[in-house]
Parts: sequence; structure tokens; C-alpha cells
Amino acid sequence: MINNETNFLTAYSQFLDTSGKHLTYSALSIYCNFSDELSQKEKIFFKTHLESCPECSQRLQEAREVESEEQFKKPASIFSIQSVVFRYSIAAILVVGVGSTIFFALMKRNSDELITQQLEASQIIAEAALNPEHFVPNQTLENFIERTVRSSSGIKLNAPAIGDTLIFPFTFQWNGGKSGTTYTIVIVDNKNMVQAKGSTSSSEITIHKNLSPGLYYVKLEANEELVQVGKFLIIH
Amino acid sequence: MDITTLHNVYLQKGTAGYAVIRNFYSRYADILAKTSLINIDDVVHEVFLSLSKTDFENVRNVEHYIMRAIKLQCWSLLDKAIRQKAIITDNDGMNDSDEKERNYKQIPTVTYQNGQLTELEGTDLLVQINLFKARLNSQEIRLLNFLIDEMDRSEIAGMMEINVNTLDTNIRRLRIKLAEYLKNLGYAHKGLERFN
Repeated sequence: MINNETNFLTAYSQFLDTSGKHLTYSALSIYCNFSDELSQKEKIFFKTHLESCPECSQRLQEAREVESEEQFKKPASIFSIQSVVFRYSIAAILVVGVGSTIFFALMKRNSDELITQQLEASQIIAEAALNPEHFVPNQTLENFIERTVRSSSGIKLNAPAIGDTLIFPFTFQWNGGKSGTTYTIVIVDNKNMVQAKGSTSSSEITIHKNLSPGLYYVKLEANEELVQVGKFLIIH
Repeated sequence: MDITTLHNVYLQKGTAGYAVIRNFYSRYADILAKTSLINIDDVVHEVFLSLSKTDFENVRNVEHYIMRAIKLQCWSLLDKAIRQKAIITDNDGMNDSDEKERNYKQIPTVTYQNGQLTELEGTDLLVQINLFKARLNSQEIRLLNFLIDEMDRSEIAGMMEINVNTLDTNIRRLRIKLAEYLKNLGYAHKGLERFN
């Protein structure tokens, strides 16, 4: 009775015999972590596919690298420190430092303008001080900064420099790309929420969107692949 | 193991499980953002939800299993994100009336095409069946593997040193257990009814 029964275990077994498509990362994880319990047919399924598919072999290598790094990974930068107090301290220093710079710059102007601008600077500082959370670095995005994600592409974000303070409208420039490439600039806040986005085939784009004071990250994508991550500040 | 212990021992900051997820997230943050996993806490939450459905009473070597399952769940989230990105790309430009179809494409179901599992479902079953093995004893794993390998019943009985009647009983119990496990995961197909 059982032999004649058509069921999904049989279908599963047939799938192992006939499947030719790429392996998912989950399946590769089974191969890495649950190999002791695999049946003979499952082992052959993996072995046969991996031997004939360079793409899946590469993904297997990638999965193994990611899993082997985990015990040894250290915080990538000073911003990776987990302490909330430390993060708020950094944010407070940032706010005071930027506020002071603006204040002293305004001192050099004429007195009428100075009075007005001092008031504005005070408002900026007050506003920024009210929202220190908007200046807290995002640990994950910080890890992407200063390294080219697609190292082979040769595309580099030139402006703004990392950590620049920008004023509206925001212009971004890059170089090194091939002609015909579609570039996308994605601006996210320090919670990694998308605030603005624009695409172009040239090497420059201006974003016309008012952003509230805070720390922002810019992601440069070429043909939908992430190329580089930068960051900038909006004070006003 | 209760879910509070699961969270505190394996998924809280500073634990080995959290380190696995942090490393994984730092590498694939951009892709995961496509599925609304915008920060590491979202990923931890998803992994926790998946693991909390596990009946740990039947799992052998719980600690070893959980660490492996955390890794597997991370990769599953990445697969889901990649799949979702592909679906969105496929559906670019469609109008609102196609929204139902978009949702439909994201629902996992077990279906047959000409008597065979589709590629995606077959790979998904491979993952789930191997997770299922972690809650079986060594004899049951052997039996399940023999069935997957489509060995003849008499041959299985000989290798397991039991008579065919006992083997049939064991096979039936195992199939019911597997069908129950898959049903609890949300799989639905009339073929599963055969086991009950």
C-alpha cells in the first residue's frame, strides 16, 4: 500500500533527481550546517550541483566566509560602540561643535545681519539640541562608509566629502563610471529610512528636497547595485 | 525551553546568536532593507519569531540546533529579500488591479506540476525536512533518509533489522509526524491528507 502511494516524499525525491536550478542560500546553509543528517540522495544532489555550477559554489564560499567571520568580528569603528551614553555624547559634541562654527562665522558679518543670523543660529542649535537622536550615527551604515562596495566598478563619490555639512539644494557628484550606466542616489536618515531618491545617467544630480536637521547617509547605486555610501549633515 | 530563555540566552545583545545576526546584517543590510528589515532589531525579531515556533522538547542537542537554526533563518531572510526584489522588478509598471497577484506570488504553497514539485518548493522542502530531522531520533532519521533515497521496503527492513510489518508501522508514524510538522508550517496540499 505504502509503495503505491503517491506522496510528496516521492515528489521530493524526484525533485532531488531532476532539479537543475540554482541553490538558495537556505539550502546552502543546510549543506554547511546540517550535512551530518543528509540522505545519500541529498548529498549527491548538492555535490552534483556544486561541481557543475560555479555560481552556487561561489555562493557557498560566501556563506562559509560570513559564518566563519562571526566569532571574530570586532566593531568596525568608534561609532560601533554599543553604549547609548557614548552615542549621545558624540551627538551632543557634534551639535555643539557645528553650532559654534556657525555662530563664529556669523560674527564676521555686519551687525544688522548678525543679529538676525545669531537668532537663526540659536534656533538651529536649539532645534538640533532638541533632537539629538537625529544625529546618532547608524552603526550598520557607518560600516559601509569609506569602502567601495563594488570594488571592481571604480566609481567614486566625490562630493560631498564624508561628513560635510550641506545646504539646500543638495548636489552629489561622482566619477569613474562607464557610459550608459544608470545612477541612483538614495538619501536615508540615521534610521536608514529613505528620505529622497533620484536617478540620472550623468555623473551629477541635484536633489531638491528639504530635509530637517540631522545626520544623513547617501547611497550611490549604479544599475541598481550599491557602489558607495557617504554621509552628510543638515544643520538648517 | 520557553521563549524568554530563548531570547535572553541566544538573541540578546552580547550573546553568540546575536553576534551571528549582527555579522550577517552588516553584510546584507541593503538587500534586507527591501523587505522592510531596516535595522538589526527587525532581523533579530524575525529570527526570534521563527525559532519561537519550534517545539524544543523533541529537539536533540538544543544549543547546537539553535545556533545552526539562527544561521539558517538569517539565510532564509536573505532568500526572501532576493525573491521579493525579483517579484517587485517583475511587477514594475503594473497597475493597482494587479496588487492581488503581487500578494499571491508571495504566499508559499506546495503544489505539483506534472506530478513534481516546482524548483522553489522543492528547495524549501529540502530545508524544512532537514530541520525536521533535528527532532527525530537516530533510527527515525535513518528511516526518513532511506525513504528519501527511495530504497525498497524489504531492503530497508533488512538494514534496520526489523520485519516488514514493523517497518510499515514505523513508516506510517514517521509520515504522520512529518505531515503534521509541515502543516504547522502552513503547508497545505491534499496529498498531506493521506497521512492522517
